[in-house]
Amino acid sequence: MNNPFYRVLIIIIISCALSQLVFVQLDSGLLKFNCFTNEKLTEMLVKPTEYKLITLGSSRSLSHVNPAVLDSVLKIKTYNAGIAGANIYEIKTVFNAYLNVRKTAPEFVVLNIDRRTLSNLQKFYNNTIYYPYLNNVVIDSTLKEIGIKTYLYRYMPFVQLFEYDDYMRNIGIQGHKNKNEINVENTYYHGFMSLAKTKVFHLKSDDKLEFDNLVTNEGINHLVEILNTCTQKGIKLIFVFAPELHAGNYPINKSLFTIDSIAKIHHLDILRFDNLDSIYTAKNFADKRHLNGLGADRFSLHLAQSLAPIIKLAK
Amino acid sequence: MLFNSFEFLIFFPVVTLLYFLLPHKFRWLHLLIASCIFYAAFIPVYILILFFTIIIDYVAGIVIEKSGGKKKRNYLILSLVANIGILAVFKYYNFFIDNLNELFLGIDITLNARLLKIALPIGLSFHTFQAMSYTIEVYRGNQKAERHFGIYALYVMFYPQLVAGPIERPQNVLHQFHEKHTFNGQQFLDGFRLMLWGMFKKVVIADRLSIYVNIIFEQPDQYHYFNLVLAAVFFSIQIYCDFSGYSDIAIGAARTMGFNLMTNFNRPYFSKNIQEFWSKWHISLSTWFRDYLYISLGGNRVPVKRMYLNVAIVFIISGFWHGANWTFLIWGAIHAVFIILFMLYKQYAKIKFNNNWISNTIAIITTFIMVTLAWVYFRAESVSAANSFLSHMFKFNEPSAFTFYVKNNDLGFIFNKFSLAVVAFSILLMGIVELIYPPDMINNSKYIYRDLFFSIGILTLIICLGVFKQSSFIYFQF
Repeated sequence: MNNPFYRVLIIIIISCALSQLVFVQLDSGLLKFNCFTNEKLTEMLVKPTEYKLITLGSSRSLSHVNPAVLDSVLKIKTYNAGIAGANIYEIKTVFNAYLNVRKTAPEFVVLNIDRRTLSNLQKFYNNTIYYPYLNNVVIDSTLKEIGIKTYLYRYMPFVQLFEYDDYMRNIGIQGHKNKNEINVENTYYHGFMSLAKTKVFHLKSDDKLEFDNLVTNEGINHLVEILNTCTQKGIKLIFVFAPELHAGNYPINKSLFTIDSIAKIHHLDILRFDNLDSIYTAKNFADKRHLNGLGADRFSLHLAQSLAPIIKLAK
Repeated sequence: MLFNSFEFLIFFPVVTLLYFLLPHKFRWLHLLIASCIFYAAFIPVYILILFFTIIIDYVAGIVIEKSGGKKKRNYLILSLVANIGILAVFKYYNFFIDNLNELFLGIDITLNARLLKIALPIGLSFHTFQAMSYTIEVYRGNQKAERHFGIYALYVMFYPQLVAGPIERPQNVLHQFHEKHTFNGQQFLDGFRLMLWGMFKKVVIADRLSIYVNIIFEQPDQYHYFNLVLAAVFFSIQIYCDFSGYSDIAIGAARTMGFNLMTNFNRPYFSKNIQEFWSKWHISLSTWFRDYLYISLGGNRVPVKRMYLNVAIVFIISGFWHGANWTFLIWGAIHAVFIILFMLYKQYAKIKFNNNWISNTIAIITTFIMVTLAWVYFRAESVSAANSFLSHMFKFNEPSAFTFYVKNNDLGFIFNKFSLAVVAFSILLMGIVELIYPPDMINNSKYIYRDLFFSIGILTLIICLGVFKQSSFIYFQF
């Protein structure tokens, strides 16, 4: 005990062991709280279940596209692979990781684009949700690519605590109190989770509806990579310009312009819902940027009806 | 390189281990190279500026020692002008030009003098002041000029205190670089413990509080007045934990290698008056100003009115030292007013308070409130922002309901119930620990098991509760 190096070693080893205990508890709480997200990521990144059509995108896909509606209209097996907050880099990663665990690729990919999809300002919205899936080589190598020390996370999992913020710590504790991310009014099916079914957003007169033009060259490159993968694997890619609430006509912004020109060059279908008055009313929205449950069902029906001829033609 | 970075986690043990493995004659070189790497991790090219001041002051020290009379004084002035000149160009030039442009615009003359597009070298004010203290002490005959260029360079560049102090005196540090340090286990453990404690204050308390403080200070008009009160109090605690945390890590890192740096903070928020506060806050800077400016101006051996003027000059310059912004000048001026009022009170007030716990508590709280109000100017981006913050606070504005929890949707940062619980627990822990342990945590191996449990507990708390967003230290900008 008198040797200072031993003492420092004891301090470090015991602290690491205690931190590992805390991590295990917090992590299991997080898995319980994020039950929907984890089930979804397991389905996408671990299980080899095949789907004919998948939808990619951010929360504009996650909480807008209900596969139950698509299944019933299109009569094919669909899955919603949207991830909250994801931009094109994260979408590309999830898509590649999805393909990595499957023998056959889906026939159709619906890519929901919103005004931030091509921004690429932040690589991942929340990279910690992928840490339980490091066995998927695409996830592992992509995280390494952005400087995440995944080798440390494999052998010293408590190091993940360095990336936690108080929000995560809090929900980790909430998970142990049997609370989770699914609220009473949420419905969920095949990767889709609606926001509150009937919550209506009340647009105030001073509410600013920002339509920023966040498109980067890097973002476009990632989109082209998705496009190339689809071409190689014989997947039909369809762009959908995702609905967000606006007052009056949807302004033609840079994202839409970019997608339009890429779609034209590559002869791809682009489905625009910017003049669909039945969708763009406040009663369909839970907040400025997300449809409520009823709005999502209405939008999904419109989407399914628009996809039907494309799928029929492809077959 | 930041102390709270992954790179430092590798850098520190490697440098410390190599220091003891190397023969004494190579240790200065090892520390100098390590310090260069540490500094170059910020903006590599600025190391040249550092070497420029080192060469000037090294030569100045020798010629000042050799010369006498007027010549000696002229060499000192020359060296001071060179040091202050660099500070003026990099730190204050844009401020003066900006204000000059504004001034001329006020009388309808467009001056349009050009601003420099340069970044401020990290810790410039700190190492410049440390270098200046060397030439002044040589001039005063309190310190022999250093002949070994490498050792002198190390005095200015010693990595633990290079970018944010403590601003050392040559008498305290220079001789330590010549001495042969054998490994001292107790000193190593004391240093290690102090580093952990500093890191705890930085990543568990300061960086967590900064989430709340940044959001409220950004839009004070959007929040309930009590949110503003809380943000001001939180900033007082944040800046203490941030800066004293840095000093603890610096002093601790130096101590692991056997170097003793001066104490920089001594529980300042337990001060019973503003004068006591300044004897316990950023001690290395306040004593610098006392020894080299206040005393040079005549100190308190002048008529009373002149003495008050000297106090005002020292505090305003001290404020300006922190940054080229009117906010810092006003912050310094507020403290000058506080100190002068306190001196007047001491001189003329007939009311004497008893030295019991009730009056002591009232005095501590009053001093804390005064310091906290002044910090608003220190934290705000501009004078108008600080005024707006204070006016919203004192008008008891309630644009929204009071909440302990704040959210920043865009960044996803959140200050929630958990954050508040951690902050409350950590501040309580800090109060207890700082009362139990002496400043700088020198322990002389009295309580082996207590220290062991303390270090284990603190390291575990750092890992489990730390906010690791690679945020810089507040005082790096100075």
